Amino acid sequence: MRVLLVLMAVLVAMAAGCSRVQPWQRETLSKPAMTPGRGRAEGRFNQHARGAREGSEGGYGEAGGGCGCN
Amino acid sequence: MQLRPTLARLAGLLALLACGAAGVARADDTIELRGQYYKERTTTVIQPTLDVELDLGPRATIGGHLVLDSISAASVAAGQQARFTERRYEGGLRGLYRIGEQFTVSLGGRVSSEPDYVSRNVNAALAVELWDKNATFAVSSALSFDDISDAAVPGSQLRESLRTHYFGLSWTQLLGPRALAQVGYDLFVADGYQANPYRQVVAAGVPLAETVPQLRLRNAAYVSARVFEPRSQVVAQLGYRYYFDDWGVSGHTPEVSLTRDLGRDLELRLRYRFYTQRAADFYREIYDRQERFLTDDAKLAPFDGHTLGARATLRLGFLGGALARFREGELSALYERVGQNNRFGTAHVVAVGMMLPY
Repeated sequence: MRVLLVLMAVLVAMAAGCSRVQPWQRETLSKPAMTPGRGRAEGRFNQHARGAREGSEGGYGEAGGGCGCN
Repeated sequence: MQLRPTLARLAGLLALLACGAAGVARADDTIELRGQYYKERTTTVIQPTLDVELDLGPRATIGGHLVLDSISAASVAAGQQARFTERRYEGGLRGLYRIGEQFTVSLGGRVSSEPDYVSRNVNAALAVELWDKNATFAVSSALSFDDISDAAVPGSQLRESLRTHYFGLSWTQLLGPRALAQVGYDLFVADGYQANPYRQVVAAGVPLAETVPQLRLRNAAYVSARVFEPRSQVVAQLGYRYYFDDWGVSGHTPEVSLTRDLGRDLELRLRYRFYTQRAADFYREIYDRQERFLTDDAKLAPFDGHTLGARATLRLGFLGGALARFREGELSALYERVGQNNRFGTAHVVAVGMMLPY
């Protein structure tokens, strides 16, 4: 619950502290390096490798697992 | 395994997507081939992958992937030094549909098959874009059904199952023309067999089968930000994840990467990731007596990890003539060194990839 409260606080701070970005101001934001979720295959491999070596899971915004590499 | 025909059908479907789609190809249709190599003291993994993305118009996209894992490792059974090689096949399909100007729905599924482990997963997500696309709220869920056996043992008898529910929330927010941030929370509820059927633990001098709880509630909260710094032309990505579960494992993962264009067509990314975790409550290096839960799993032990690596991406915008149709494609190469202060030791990761429009 504490973690969720901290996340909510970060969320509110993020939303409150920023101005609205117009479509014509988004050239930089369209750079590949600024795009979350780019590199699906690389992300899938990282998720799989870490799942086989670390006790943690998640933080990728999608379900992992699905192998017997425990 | 019984899922091989399903995987074969998936492969056929992907081939159809890749080949037959030429007639309706649009600018965003891509095919990505990637080869990944992972090497550590006792384990080597070679993983070729194929990803296909097909744009069906302004509102719909479908895609799929195939993965082959070839894993060569020392046996995990206590006292054995034998090596084994195992192959895992995975295939998945996903579809994405935009509803109106704000909503995006995605549905997907994947199957994975190896001699002693079969997994089936279905997943769905809904994303809502708010405030002129300045913020995106996403909710996602998935369900996995896994079947586990000890097929590598002569006279195999173990037949177990594991069901995992996943639920995730995320919020992505533009902070300005050069910065965005994301926060999220993932919850996994795993119910079923979660031990390794081959792993044995010595308790009071007696080798016993690994035993862990049937239920595990896993939580991950994360925050990340991407900022473009115009003077240096560098995109900095900062991230942090806090993980905790009801087995007592908790972990901190700060991460930073710096990405910069070198010239018109080359991009270089440097990345560092630190990982530290606390052990499960029932993990012991040595069990003096038999306890309810017994594990020798290094993933449930305390350890730290440092990942340092670089990736170079060459965009193919310089191509001309007959190859001009591939100008939106790219080639990439990656190396990462993963230092782990546990029995796995240092790992090296090498990957090369090719993404092409078609």
